[in-house]
Amino acid sequence: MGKREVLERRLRVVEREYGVSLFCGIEPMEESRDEESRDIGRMAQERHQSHRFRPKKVRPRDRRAENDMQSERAPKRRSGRRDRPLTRRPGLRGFAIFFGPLFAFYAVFYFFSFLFLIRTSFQDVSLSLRNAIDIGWTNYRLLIEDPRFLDALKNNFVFAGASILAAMTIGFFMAVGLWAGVRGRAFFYAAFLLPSLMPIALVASVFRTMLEARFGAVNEFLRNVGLEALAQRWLVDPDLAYGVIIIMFVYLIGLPLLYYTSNLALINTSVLESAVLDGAGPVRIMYGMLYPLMKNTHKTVTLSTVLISFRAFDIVFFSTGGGPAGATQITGTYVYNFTTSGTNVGFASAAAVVVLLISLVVSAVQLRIYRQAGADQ
Amino acid sequence: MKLRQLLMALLALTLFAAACGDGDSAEQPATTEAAVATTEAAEEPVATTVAAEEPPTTSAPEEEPAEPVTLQFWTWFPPEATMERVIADFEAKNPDIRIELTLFESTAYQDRLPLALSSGDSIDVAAVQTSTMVNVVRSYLDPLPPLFDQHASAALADGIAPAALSQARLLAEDSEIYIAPLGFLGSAAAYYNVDLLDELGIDVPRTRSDLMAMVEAVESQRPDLLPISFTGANWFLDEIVLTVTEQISPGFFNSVRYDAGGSWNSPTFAAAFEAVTSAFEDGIFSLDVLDLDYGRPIEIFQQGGAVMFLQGTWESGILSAPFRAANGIEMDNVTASPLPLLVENGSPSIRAFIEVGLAVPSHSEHKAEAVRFIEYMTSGDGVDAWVTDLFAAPARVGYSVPQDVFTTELAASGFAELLAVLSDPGSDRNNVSDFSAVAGDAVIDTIISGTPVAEQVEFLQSEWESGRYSNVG
Repeated sequence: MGKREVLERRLRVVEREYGVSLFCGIEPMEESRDEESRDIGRMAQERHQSHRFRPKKVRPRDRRAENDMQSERAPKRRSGRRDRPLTRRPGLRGFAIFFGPLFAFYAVFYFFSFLFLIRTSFQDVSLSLRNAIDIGWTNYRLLIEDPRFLDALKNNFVFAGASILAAMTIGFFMAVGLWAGVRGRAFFYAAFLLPSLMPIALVASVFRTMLEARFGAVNEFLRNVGLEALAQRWLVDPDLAYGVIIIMFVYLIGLPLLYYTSNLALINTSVLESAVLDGAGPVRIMYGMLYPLMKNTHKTVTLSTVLISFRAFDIVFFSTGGGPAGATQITGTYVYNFTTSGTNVGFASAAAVVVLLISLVVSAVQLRIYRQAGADQ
Repeated sequence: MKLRQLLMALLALTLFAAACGDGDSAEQPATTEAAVATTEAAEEPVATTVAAEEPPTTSAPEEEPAEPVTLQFWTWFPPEATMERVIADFEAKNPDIRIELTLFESTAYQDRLPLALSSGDSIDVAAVQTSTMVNVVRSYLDPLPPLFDQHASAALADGIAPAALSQARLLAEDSEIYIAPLGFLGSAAAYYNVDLLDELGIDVPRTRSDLMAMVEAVESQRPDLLPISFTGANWFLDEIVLTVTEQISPGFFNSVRYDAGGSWNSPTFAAAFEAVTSAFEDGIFSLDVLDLDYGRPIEIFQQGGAVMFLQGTWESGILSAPFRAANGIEMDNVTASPLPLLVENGSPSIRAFIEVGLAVPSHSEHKAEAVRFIEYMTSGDGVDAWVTDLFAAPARVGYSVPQDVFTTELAASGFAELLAVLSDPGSDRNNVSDFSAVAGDAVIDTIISGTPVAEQVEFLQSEWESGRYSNVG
């Protein structure tokens, strides 16, 4: 069965379910119509049985509309001008009109920038971009030899790992809880989604102020309630500062929460009903059924979180500034510091190119997994 | 038939839309300009236009007054309030010139200026950050001495101190002078809340043991206070270490910076490094300052939460009564000194350098007027207008700061002490910012992790020679 037939079949199912016409741009496949009708009938029957589906009463006007729609869908004898389809496949011009602006935008802001970065990464050049000297791979050699850059790269993956762990445990648990209709659902949604919607720079700056050792609100509170022993130099001790950054990544799990919530909404509840009837408890349902059912979401969450960690410049920059002594530096802050405080733009470009290439590899893996998941479905 | 009707309706709609479009077209440019202005305002940290009021129009002008030339002036310093005052004074004295000021935040300006100059933005006077920035943008600037000879009332060398001009020349690889500096800045300096010192019964500390005594007095009498407030940012810790190297051996930084035989793994630098890190160990400096960013220590000091405050001489405005009044600072009994000696057998010192260099871009169409404005700002009456903020020691030949900006003897004598070291600095404060961050991180690492000083100085020397930083090229 070709892709086109699969697509057409899916659209037919949606049409039947929701009573809308989706075939304005696709010519029906005459030869597969009978087979398709049988499939749709079988699927509807299965759905009816599994969901104890009761067809709703159809009012005369609705019935008339349905008949009209069905008559539209029925194969027509086509001859002359009238039989030409109302819409055609988009030609090259249509394609250009539709995608042209997008390609132009990408060409200017992405491809040009990327090529510019690659070019300058092989040069010794200042911000004025004049008098550039080609120096081959020197910038890349200097970059790879810099332990600070390698530490920053490692931090990217560690922070991403912590985020993934948090998303797949706390995020998943929260999503299931909210989906199951826990009390105060709206409040919890707001509490967990709001930080993701707020400017991260603001959140990070507030964290920084709150965590100041001597004047921060957290330590002030601990001292006031007699827990002075717990008051720490949160942003001075490298281990604690590392923990603070991880907590901030965890605090921003709104996006994974959304992924899980949207996937949970698509789960066939009849499967869960069957499990309940068979005596499965909430824990069993959660970890024995829901967790494996969402394996594709786990992949999406994993890869998107890794990518987000490469763009988490503001989290680190506005909270610890990459400190203390570079302990929480990530590639974003590394590149920024060299760009703003140094004069060798070529070196900063080389760092940016390496980060970009790593991100592209992660994106490619993500796309491959998506495709594989689509094929599995 | 239906198709024809549909086409007719579409045609009518198109014509109607076109007619509406024409009607709106007169307003369109204004709306667009407003949108652009709003966007720019949102993007720039501060983008202010300061201009004199339009000359009043007369009912029957017999002779049209010449349209004043508008100069585009880009800078990041001095602060907006100061610049407004300076520009108003300049425009009053030069009615044929108007100044349109665009003021940026420092880091944003460093990124923006090279790009603006390379893309030919309309700039007539550009303030240039010293150190490496001069070389970055010099190919877009005109050398100043010929311009001054042509358009100013006096030669550049007649108005600006020789030391300032030689530093300006040092910054350009081709040894030309592209900038006229406003003044000298130095780091690190110390500021004191005199009322708190009096309350504790101690004098301005001069040595390490004085500092220790002050900290002990604070801990015993006013434990709510932070004895010494300063930012723990890596670059400033590097400033402190380098100041101590100058206390030990004046000229040390120059010997490394200008490849004159100095090195970071030398005993002098190691001793200074040890003196600063051990000050944290001994409790002279509190570990609590390490998480304070630039603004917090100033706030703490100005609000009376700290006895002493360390920063560069660009924060000397706190000694000035007009500056305090303009910025709502309530404390009024302040003094200053060079950084107290953190080593034995040292002498007070500082690293100082010219700052805020004014330059004329090659593509400016108003070079004559631009030179007049630069002359006014660097060696003319403009110095009187901005000097009250005390952010820099003026580079104008033979200039002395008016004493009426100080309300106390101690404030005046403190500033005089700073001027004394600024006029005879140990080394140039010609920083290598990217390396400075690494050096400061090494200091922090030793303070919090105990990494041996010997290991750190060897690491810094190898980094200096790595070719990654701005000291190369």
